[in-house]
Amino acid sequence: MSKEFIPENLAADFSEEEPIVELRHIKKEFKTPEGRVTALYDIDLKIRRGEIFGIIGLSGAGKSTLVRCINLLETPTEGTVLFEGRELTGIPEKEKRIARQSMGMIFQQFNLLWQRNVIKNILFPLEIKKIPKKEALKQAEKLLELVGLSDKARAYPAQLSGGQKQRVAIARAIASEPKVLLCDEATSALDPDTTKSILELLKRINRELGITVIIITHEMKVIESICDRVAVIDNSRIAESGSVSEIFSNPKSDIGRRLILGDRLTDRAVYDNMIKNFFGGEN
Amino acid sequence: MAGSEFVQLFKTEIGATVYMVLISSVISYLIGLPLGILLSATDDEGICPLPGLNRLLGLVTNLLRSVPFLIMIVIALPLTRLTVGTTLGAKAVIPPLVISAAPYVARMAESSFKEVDRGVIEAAKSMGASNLQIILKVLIPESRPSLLVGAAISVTTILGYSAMAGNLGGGGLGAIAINYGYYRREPLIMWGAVILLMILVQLIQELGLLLARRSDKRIRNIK
Repeated sequence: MSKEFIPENLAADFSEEEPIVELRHIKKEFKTPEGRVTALYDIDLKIRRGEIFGIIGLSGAGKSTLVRCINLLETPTEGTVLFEGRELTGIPEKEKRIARQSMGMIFQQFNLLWQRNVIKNILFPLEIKKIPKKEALKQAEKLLELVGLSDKARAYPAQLSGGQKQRVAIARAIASEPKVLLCDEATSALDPDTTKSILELLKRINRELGITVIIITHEMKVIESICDRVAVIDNSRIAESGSVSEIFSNPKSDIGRRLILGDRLTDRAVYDNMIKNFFGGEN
Repeated sequence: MAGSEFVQLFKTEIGATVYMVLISSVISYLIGLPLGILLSATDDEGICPLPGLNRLLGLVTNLLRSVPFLIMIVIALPLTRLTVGTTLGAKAVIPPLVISAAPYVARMAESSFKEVDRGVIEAAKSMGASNLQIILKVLIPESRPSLLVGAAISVTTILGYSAMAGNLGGGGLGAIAINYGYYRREPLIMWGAVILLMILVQLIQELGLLLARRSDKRIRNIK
């Protein structure tokens, strides 16, 4: 009897599934000598467990501040941040630090420790978490293999290329087995090929380890290639959000159109294709 | 004075100088390094901004640094008598030397800590590191080369101060230079002491730079 209700129940469960990260009415103001500057205004966002969520906007739109509100590197002026249904805003600093261990983060400039070699960089978060050395080393070696840099364990960051540095940073960020990986313009300092391989790695981490990935970027290509859903942020607010296919096929906001269509128009491949089609395949 | 007596004299006084500089440097770092950490941590841009405490510490540091060292020896006399039991000789130079050098060391260390990439500190924070962990695992190791360069400068400055103390009964190479070279008009002895001081400065400075270079992993193709 009850079996018939299972599909319905599952469907209901899915739609009402608790978001892994939820932002409610987040507002962030900065005090500057010129007065208060609003970096984020009334941001509402629900990020589902297991998805790759993109946040796109032009520089200065407030993306970086937004991602830092999620792990509370920035304290929102107003609003609530929930992680797995638990309110993070307003909890004591010590508990925030523990919560951050469940959220890895990677950066545009990689931010590796220059004076530590690769394996010790990956060990860093495990030291913070006070994982026994032997166990930590095993874990770090496993991660190094995952990101394909086993031969670079004793190298120092200065000896690595940008892409390699970001791979180390990714291994380090997921070493403490976080549930969420925050990526702040993680591919913006990399060339297109390296960007592609880093995005593939992020996708693999998402699929294989089940880590929810939140990506901040100004590049539409990044969103297009790996994100499930996207929020377009402009002028400190969310202009629109939805599934990537939805937003790409029918951007409703001005900024969404500009980001998507503008990108399309300047995309070399598309441009070449247009020329080709126009001249009927000659040339 | 016979030649061998001079050799003996120099030997003793080099020993006194090294003793003064070594002990003073160690104590100055024991005080100055934590003070430098506090100064950089409580700064507006630091990991734990505390403007009130920062201003107070900064003020004390600056005040101590503004007292000329020779005057500091005099001002510190009661403290010197209290702590080392004498106001003469190499030992007696240590308290004023520390009072003058510790704030200097603190400022040097502070500037080294401020060179640490803010992004790296942010990364550590994002991993849930506490302020103490950031200090011990990020700030100090990441600024190690710069701290070593700073140490070379600080220790040579302390050496300079210690020589100055020779003027007021401090002992050491500075005392030889003043007592023999100036008061007894034996320029050869004075120059001998000065040259030895120069060599010491060179040694300390070069050693510091060498250690800094050796320990710095930011340089490509190290091995």
